[in-house]
Parts: sequence; structure tokens; C-alpha cells
Amino acid sequence: MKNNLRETIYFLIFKTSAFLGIFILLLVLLLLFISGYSVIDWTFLASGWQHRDIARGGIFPAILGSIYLGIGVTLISFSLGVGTAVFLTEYNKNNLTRRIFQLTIRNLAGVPSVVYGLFGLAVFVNFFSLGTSLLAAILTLSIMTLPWIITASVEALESVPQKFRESSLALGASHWQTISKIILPAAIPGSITGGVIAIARALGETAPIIFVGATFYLSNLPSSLFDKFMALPYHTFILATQHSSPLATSYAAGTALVLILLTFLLSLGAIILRYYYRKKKDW
Amino acid sequence: MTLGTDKLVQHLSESLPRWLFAATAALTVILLISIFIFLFVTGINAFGSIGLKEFFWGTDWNPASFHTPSWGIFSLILGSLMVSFISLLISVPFGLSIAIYLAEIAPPKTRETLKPVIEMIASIPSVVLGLLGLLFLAPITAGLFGLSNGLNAFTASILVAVASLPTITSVSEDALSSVTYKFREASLALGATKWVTIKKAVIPAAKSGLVAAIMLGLGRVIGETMIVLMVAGNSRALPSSFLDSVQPMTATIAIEIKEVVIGTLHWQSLFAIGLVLFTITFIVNFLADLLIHKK
Amino acid sequence: MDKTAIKIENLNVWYNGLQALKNVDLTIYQNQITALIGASGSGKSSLLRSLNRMLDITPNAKVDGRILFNGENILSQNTDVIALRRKVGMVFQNPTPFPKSIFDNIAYGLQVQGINKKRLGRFLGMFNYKTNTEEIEKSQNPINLAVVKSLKEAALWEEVRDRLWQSAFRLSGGQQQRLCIARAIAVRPEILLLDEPCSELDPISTRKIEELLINLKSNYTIVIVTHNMHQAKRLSDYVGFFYLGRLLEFGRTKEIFTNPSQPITNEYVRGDFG
Repeated sequence: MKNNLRETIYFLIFKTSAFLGIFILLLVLLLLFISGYSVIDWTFLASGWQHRDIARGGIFPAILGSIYLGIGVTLISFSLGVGTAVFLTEYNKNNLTRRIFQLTIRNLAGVPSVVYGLFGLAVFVNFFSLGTSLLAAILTLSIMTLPWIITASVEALESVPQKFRESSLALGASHWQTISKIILPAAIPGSITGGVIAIARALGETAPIIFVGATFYLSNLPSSLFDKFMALPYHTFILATQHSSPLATSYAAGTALVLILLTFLLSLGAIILRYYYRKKKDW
Repeated sequence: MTLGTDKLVQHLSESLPRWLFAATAALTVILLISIFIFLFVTGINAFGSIGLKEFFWGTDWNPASFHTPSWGIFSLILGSLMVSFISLLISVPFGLSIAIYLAEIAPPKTRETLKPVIEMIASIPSVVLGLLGLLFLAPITAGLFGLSNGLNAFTASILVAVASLPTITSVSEDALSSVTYKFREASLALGATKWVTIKKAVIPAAKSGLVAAIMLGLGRVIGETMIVLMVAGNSRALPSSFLDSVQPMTATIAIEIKEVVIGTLHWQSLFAIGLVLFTITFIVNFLADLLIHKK
Repeated sequence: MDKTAIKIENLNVWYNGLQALKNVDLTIYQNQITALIGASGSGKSSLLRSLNRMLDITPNAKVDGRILFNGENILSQNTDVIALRRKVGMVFQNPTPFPKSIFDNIAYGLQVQGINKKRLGRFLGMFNYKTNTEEIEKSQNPINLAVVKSLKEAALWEEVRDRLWQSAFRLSGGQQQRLCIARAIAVRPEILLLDEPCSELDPISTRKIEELLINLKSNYTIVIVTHNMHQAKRLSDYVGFFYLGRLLEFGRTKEIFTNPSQPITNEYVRGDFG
């Protein structure tokens, strides 16, 4: 009897923990919503930033900046990441190379984002003289996202059964034809769902972009890759910590709300896609 | 069936993709390695100029001081460690409990819905957590302990614990789930209750994976920047209690990098701090990786 | 006298240094079914896979000897392996349809040769516009012609004619294997290699495939590796018995099964081992 009581108590603790986890997520959303919903209206979303009288302006430049970042990072990190993954799984015969690669990549995924920021500053802003710019930020965030995309793509490629490759080759297809017609199409969905989650996280990052191009005081929208830009996370940060207007906190919360909606939509979308893709997969 | 002129075209259409992919992989390697190289080269200079003893054990970090700049990062390291310690104290038991629930107790449908939800916590941008800390948690801490503001290591730790929860939970859950079914069957067949089975059979079997989860959690909390930047108080004085304001290594870099001149010792010393962070997280991840993949 | 399709001379195969096939001399006759029998690990699959250079992709496999096909040694460095595989097709042990529709599975072999639907068809295909079955049957488009012909030859047409655009995975195991056979013959090879094609199928599907192979014999040369003695007896015209990497005996099926010259052969065909 005593054992049963113990078990019941423990299991109750575990179950509570799990639901507490959900509660925390909901609490975050709720608190954010309460703090920020009052400032959200069409002006807020669509107008340019008015620095002196923030109530008259909006965060459109920050939204646009984040979107630009997202597109740029997706383009670069997916092409580099999927390409590297294809090389590792389909062309590379050397086992040692592959293990070293995978070890390095998995561990780079754990490096703090501020370190990537330092790297971006040293390399892209200074060494390549790109200056603090949208391009430097895109490149910095892309490098940060690369390990995740490579890992997701390698996993997707490795899960394609060997028998597909054999059957394709036996029919007289070349290696490249096999890759492009059978293997990549089968692996792309898995690679995308894993990658989109990584991109969503990159969009929420502040530290790496603080010193490579994000700014707070912009009067026009960025017109070229070499311009400075605004971004939602950085905007939230400055409003929360450095702005003097009494409205700053609620505007910070409003910006944060838009940001979290963006990252959540992307992540949730990817998770749902992953779920349906796994259900549908027939091998 | 022997080689002919149109075979040249076929040969090209094979080797072109091959070279393209190899070049991509090479580019990636170069980029990733150069992260370390840049950190190393710039940071090493600082070690040389400052001296390792002064750098690591000096308690005074005041590089911008006009007359006597000091370069000791000990209080910064201590700040990082203090935040990490409390965070892990909270998130490890918490995360482990959730993992046990998901892997061993929850019915499949619940598990399928709960897992993604916990995963979503990882998608909360840390600047958002920092903001909520400023708005809600800091005042609570201040009220609770009678402080003027709640910006200290303790408040920051709670939020960092939330940020690291998904990592610890998912790695632990993987470790527990991968304990083979036969193990559990055998234990239950011997008449052990479910809890005893978990406690005495499953958890010990998953031990290395669970340790890996904690290590990855450590890597995550040490590397957290925005939360500590906004909520930990940013005082460079040597902290004496968890209710003191601290400035962990990550926050230091983020604050000072904007004001520093390229090439100066201050610049190099920030890279040196970055190198320290990189090394710590790389080692921790490496060991965790070994633990997860050892068979 | 039966005509020679493939002549194998002094074939040796090693995996990781261990020899799997020793000094094999064997002739495959045209438009006949040759069965390769023997216990597991006796080398029969290795022989099969060297006939279409599939051993090239097996790591650490080494091949030595001569295999003459259409007057050339296909083991030489100069051989165009891709063209070879279009003339020597292979069906594997477990059915392996591609994750595509039934139609696209069959069409695959032709598409990799560059025979494609006309531009409009491909363009429409992107929007999932699928021509209906009647149009396909009447069409003169080379791909449609080949797909219909192969499916009919593989005795699968009637069963799939109304679901050409469904995923091939929706078929049963036996149907999938017949699909793989149809896919292999769609490129009109001269030789068809089958590696224990029925070992994972139920008796009814097995029967259907065996009938299919007998019908295909008139147009193709067939080499089949099989574990099933009765199958070998039912199907084949010639039999090669492999034992510990050597070709112990080869001859007409009737003779091997009723009056083998080697005692071990006799034991094997009687079911004493293997």
C-alpha cells in the first residue's frame, strides 16, 4: 500500500510538472498580450517609426527589416546547408571526414549567439568591409543557422532508404539523376520542416544583430543590402531598456507581441507540417 | 558501350554537380572553422598583453577606465556561474519530471500534443522573456526580498531556467524513450511497480543520456545573453549573494562591443571573453555528444 | 543449340578481402530462364550483381575476371555502366517502388534516358493534371506507349488501369513486385536479373510472378536467384548450383534435378541442407 501511495504522489508530481510547462507558455503569451495589445492598431503596424513622439509612429520598418532578414537567411543558409548535407551523405565516401563534420556541426549549434555576433563583426563588418549593414547581419545569422539546417537535412537524407538508390541505379540512372529525381524530392520536406524552426529562432535573436547592423534611429526604410536596418527583437530591446518616453514599455510589449506571433506562427507551422509529413510518408 | 564523344557530356553532367556540392561543403567548413580562428587569433593577443592570471583571477573589470584600466573577468565568470547554477537547480528537476511524464506515463495522444508545446517554449525569443522579467518578475522579486529593484542574478536565473527547459526536457525524453522496451517488460514481469521500474531500471539505463541533457542545459544557460542583459542588473562588482546584480560574460560582450574601438586591447579582450565562452560551450557540447552517442 | 547471351569467364569476387566467388565459368543462354541455386552465402547473389556492375556501389567489393556480353567484356574500365544497366535490368528481393505514382514509377527508367513527355505534358504535370486512362491507352506518346505496354506484359494493367496516378505504395506486396518487374522491362532490356523476387511474397503472388516470368521468356533472357528448389524446378531451363563460392554444377534443369553428377548437388536438391 505504501508503495502505491508513493507512486501516486510521484506520478502526480510529474504530471503537474508537464502541465506547469504548458502553463508557463500560456502565461508568457497572456502577460505579453495584456501589456501590449493596447498599442496595436493599424498605425502601429504600418507606419514608419517616429522617434520623438512614438505614439504617432509605428513599427513597420522593424517588421520589414525582420522579413528581409528572414528571406536573406533562408536563401543563404538553405543553399549552403542542403548542399553541404548532400555532399556529406551522397558524395563523401570517407567515414572519418563525415564523423568530423558531424561532430563539429553538432557542437557549433551550441555556441552562444553573442559569439556569432562577435564573429560577424570581425569578419563581415570589418574584414570584408561590409560595414554595419543588412548584408552583414544576414550573413551572421546564416552562419548561426547553418548547423541546424545541415543537421536537419542530413537526417532527412539519411532516412531515405538505400533500396531507392539501388533500384534507381539498376535502371540505368546516373548518380546525379538518382539524387535529383528520387533522393532530394524525398528528403526535402523533412529538411524544410527542420530548417523553418531554425529560421524562426534566428528571427528572434537580438545579440548577433546588435553589433552588425541593427539600429534604432532610422528615418527611411533600407533600400540596399548595405544599409542599416531595424528589426523587431532589437527594437523591443531598446524600447524596453533605453527609451525615455513613458509609453516605451507598452510599445516594447506591443513590438514583442508582434515578434512572438511571427516566430510562433513559423514554428507552429513547421511542427504541424512535420506531423502531416510523417503521417503521409509511405516508407 | 565504350566511351565516345557524347559520353563526355554525360561525364560532365555527373562531375559538375559533384564539384558544386563539394565546393559548398568546403565553403561551409571554412566558415565554421574560421569562427574559431578569428576568436582565437584576436583573443590570444589579449591573453598575451594582459596575462592569464590577471585575466582570469582579477576581480576588477574596468577596461574603459582612463587611468588604470583593469582586466579581471573573475566577477564576470562568477556572474555567469551564479546564474547558471540557480537556473539548472530549477530547470533540471523540472525538465526531468516533464521528461519522465512524457516518456513513461502520458498516454500516447497526450504525449503527441504535449511534446510540441514544450518545444514551442524554445521558440520564445529571449528578448521577450527579458521584457516580461522587467515588467513582472523584477517587481515581484523586489517586493519579496525588500530590494529597490529586482534586477539581480536570482530574477535572471528564473527566466533563464524557462529558456533552458525545452533543451533539458527533450534530450532527457529522448534518452528515456530509447531505453528498450524489453527492459521495462522484464522489470514489470518480475512484479515491480511502474514507478520502481522507472526508478531502478529505466533511469539508470538512460543515465548517460540524462547527464548529456544536463550538460546541454549548462551550455544553453551559460550562453544566454538577452535575459541577463536586461534583468541581471549589470553590476561589475564582485557579487556576494544571489540577490546582487551581476554582469555575466555574455552581457559584458553585448554591452561593451558597441563602444569599443577596433584593434584596441579592449576590443581584443572582449574577443578573449568570447573565446572563453566558445571553449566552455564547445567542450560541454562535445562531452554531451559523446555521452549521447556512446553505445 | 541455344544461343549464348552472356559468357562468364573465371569470375572471382571478394568482399573486404574474403573471397565470395571462386573461378566461376558459366554461360547464360538467350531467351532461357537460368536459375542460380545454393545455400545462403554460396555466392549466387554476388554473381547476379556482377552481371550489371551493381557491385560497383558495394563498398569494399573487388571483382576479377571476364564477363562477355554483346562481344565486349563488361568488367573493363571502359564500359559505359549506365548503358549496360539499361540492357541488363534487375529486380530486387523486397519490392522497392519509388515514392511516386504507379505511372511515374514505370516511366522513370525512360525519363532518365531523356525520353520525356512533350513540354506541355510536363508543364501540366506540375499542376497535377493527369490524363485519364483512355487517353493514355490511345496515346502515341512514347512514354505512354511504354508504360501501357510494360504494365500489360507484367500482367498488371487490368489491376491498375484505374489508379495509375495513385501512390505505388498502395499496392499489395505481390502487385508491387510485379510493378518493379514492369518498371525494369519498360526500358526494354535484353537481360532481366531477379534476386529472390518471391521470397517475401505469399504463394498466390508467387504463382502469378512465376507465370509472368515464363511468359516473358520469349522476349527476355532471365536469370533468377532463388532459395526455393521447387521454384527452380518449375521455372527454369538451366540451373547453376553454387556451393561455398564455387559453381559446383551447371546444366539443364531436368538433368540436374533427376541425375546430378555431384553428390552434394544431389543432397541439396533433395533438401538435405540449405
